[in-house]
Amino acid sequence: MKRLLLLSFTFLLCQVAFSQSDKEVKQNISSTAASIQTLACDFTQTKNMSLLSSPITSQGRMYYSSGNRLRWEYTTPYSYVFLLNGNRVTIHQGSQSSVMDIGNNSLFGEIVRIMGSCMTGSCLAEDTSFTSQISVTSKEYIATLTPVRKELRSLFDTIILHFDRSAMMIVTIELLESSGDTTTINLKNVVTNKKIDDKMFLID
Amino acid sequence: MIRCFLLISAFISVSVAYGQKNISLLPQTTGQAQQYDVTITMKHTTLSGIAVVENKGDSLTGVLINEFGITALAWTYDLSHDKVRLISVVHFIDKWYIRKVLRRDIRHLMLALSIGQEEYVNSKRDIHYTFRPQHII
Repeated sequence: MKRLLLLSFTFLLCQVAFSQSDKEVKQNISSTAASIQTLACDFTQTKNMSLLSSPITSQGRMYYSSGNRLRWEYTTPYSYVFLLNGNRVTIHQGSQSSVMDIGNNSLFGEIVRIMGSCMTGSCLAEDTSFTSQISVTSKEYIATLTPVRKELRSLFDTIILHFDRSAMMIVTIELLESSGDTTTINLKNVVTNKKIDDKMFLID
Repeated sequence: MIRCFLLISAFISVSVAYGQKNISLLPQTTGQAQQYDVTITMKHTTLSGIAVVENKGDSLTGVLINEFGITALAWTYDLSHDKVRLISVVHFIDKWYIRKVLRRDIRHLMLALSIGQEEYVNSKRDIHYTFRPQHII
């Protein structure tokens, strides 16, 4: 009986220790995220789909600034700019551009908000949108996010964020869909808190 | 002489215009895939992103993904039966009556692209589809 009690106590102690470290990692990432005012990086996006024989790969540059401003710019293999400033979105495709108000499209706004918060890692603190689990490797913290809301679950089955352990910065985002299709976004040359020209977020 | 010149110019313009309209914007050989910049404008919402259409021999498989890689729409177009089958539709537009319109419109869009037209307008529902070709994969 004593043995059983001891075993249960040890098990409980391990559980508490594990959840504390889990909490600690989240806190560390969230505090780093909270300190990020601007972020700029290069990205490579690879989409694997069961329906298509080859993956779709594109490259570009991303700029993020607090205050709901995001510039997602594809440079290879084509030129395409997705620009968010507050509730307004502009898309530049070659010589043409279009503006839309995402206030009318709440789900689209939600996707954009999630992508912005994933870039900094602040989505880990948003307990209402996701449940999260943390795993640790020698080089990375890996956060697995599962959307809570039905609408979001229909878009993402799971979001996996990989953080560099030393810099506490995000390096890879994996979006897994229920169909089995995946999108992997690798971030490189990440620069934080360096002033980004307001022109980069200017909507015509 | 002037008349002759005008006639030749008119013939050349018509030929160029006719020729442009007939250059298919769809992938022509099996295994080839064409990428497009896409905007679909509806009454209350706009879908934008990238589409890829792949030639599978007897059919065309199309996928529309948004800027961040989320699949919005996937379909196949059976070339011999001139028929569209929707494989997946993003949650917020996945309604039977929208699927019906999409099936019809994608069929028209495939036909428009096959004759070199980048746009198709469903004037009854006020839906504007623009598929601007980017590159062949």
